[in-house]
Amino acid sequence: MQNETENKDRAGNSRQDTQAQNPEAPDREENGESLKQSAPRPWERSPIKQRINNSLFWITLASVAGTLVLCILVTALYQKGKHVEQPPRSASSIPMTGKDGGELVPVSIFYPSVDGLASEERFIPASASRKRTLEVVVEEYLKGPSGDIPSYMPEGTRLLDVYLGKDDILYLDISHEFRSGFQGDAYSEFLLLRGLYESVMTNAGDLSGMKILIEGKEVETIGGHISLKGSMDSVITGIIPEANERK
Amino acid sequence: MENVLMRRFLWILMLLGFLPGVSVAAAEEGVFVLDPGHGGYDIGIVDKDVKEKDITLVLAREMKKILLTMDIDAELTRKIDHYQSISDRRSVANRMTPKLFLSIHLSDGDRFTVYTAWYGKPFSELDIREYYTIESRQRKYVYKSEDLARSIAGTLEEQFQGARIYKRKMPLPLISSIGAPSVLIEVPSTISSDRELFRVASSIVLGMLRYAERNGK
Repeated sequence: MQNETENKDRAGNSRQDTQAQNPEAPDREENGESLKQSAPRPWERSPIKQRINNSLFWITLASVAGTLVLCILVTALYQKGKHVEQPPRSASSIPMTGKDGGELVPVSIFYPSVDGLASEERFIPASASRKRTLEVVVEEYLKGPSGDIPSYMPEGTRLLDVYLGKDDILYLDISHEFRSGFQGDAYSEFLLLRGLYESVMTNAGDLSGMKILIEGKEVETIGGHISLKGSMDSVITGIIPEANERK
Repeated sequence: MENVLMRRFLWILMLLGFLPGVSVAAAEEGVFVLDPGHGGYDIGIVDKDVKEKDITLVLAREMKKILLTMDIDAELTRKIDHYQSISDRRSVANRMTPKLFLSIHLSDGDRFTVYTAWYGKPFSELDIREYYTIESRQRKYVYKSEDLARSIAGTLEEQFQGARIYKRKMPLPLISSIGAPSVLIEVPSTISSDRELFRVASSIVLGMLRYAERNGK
């Protein structure tokens, strides 16, 4: 009852406000127009229509939600399809296992090519020992390049031992064939040594240098052109010399 | 008698235009040091029955002969077939205070390659100790050595048209430690006949003489 009174008061105030804002506005209530507009419309009064309206509302809502869900599903399926179509991962990122089931890790081995060094990826058994890893890297290098690439690796060359000095210089003790069997000119000798140096340094982490011994002894050279006295990095690092062909 | 014949032969070559513009007097002073590569058990490249240590000695002797006929003093680091280490060769050559130094080798193909010394560290970054090491003796002759290499390569290009001729810079310990303009040359291992070897020897000598003339030596 009190609410009805308050509503009436609010309506009266509202009218008063309207008239106050626009004094020339006709009093529509007096013309009977206001009564017509404020009267409930037929469909608003019909419970059947209301139900239909409600149903339409819910159907629309369900359609929108369904479309959204469908879009999400289609997108997910498309992404899944795209993932399948992606090229296979590179060999280096695929975990490999050896014949004994042990894990294999990729290493880069460098060889003399037509004019410079070319690299090959090989897989070696993962080892907790740094020394063992380096041994296998050098053994892989001494096998020579695969395929039809001409090899300057002297036949029968073997790794005899590997020592890691306290100063982090790696000493490679190689069999005499590395020296006695070498056949090549100055550039071939340079690339052969540089390939060994790069193969070790690329896969060894932070070594401070590398030195080659032949049958446990320091030698001056393997081919008569490049010096092996001292650490190899002082002789062989830097840019690979490019040929300047005159003709 | 042999020298007279050789001199006459060279004069004929000059008249025919093979040795144009070379003043023999320009190269008369100083010793040209020739280093036949390998030797002894270090045989170098072997192609059929031909050994690099023998070919390099033949070439060096031939070059010396040509130079002597032109009254230019020339010496070899090894005169017979015996092993000589790189440090021995360096000592022998530097003791002779050479005007020019040429180390002779074979390439493992059909190409000529003329090498000059290459250093990892630029001249400007050297400290005083590095500058005076034996291995650094070549540093102050690097540009002259490059000029000598250009001269020899240019002459080979003239004399062996169509041949593959390369110039390279490499960290070669022998020429890096010589206190004179120095190059290491590789001759095709396919060349073995006396006639071809003489042609190679005279062409290299001509390149050296042209350089010597340009530089007033």
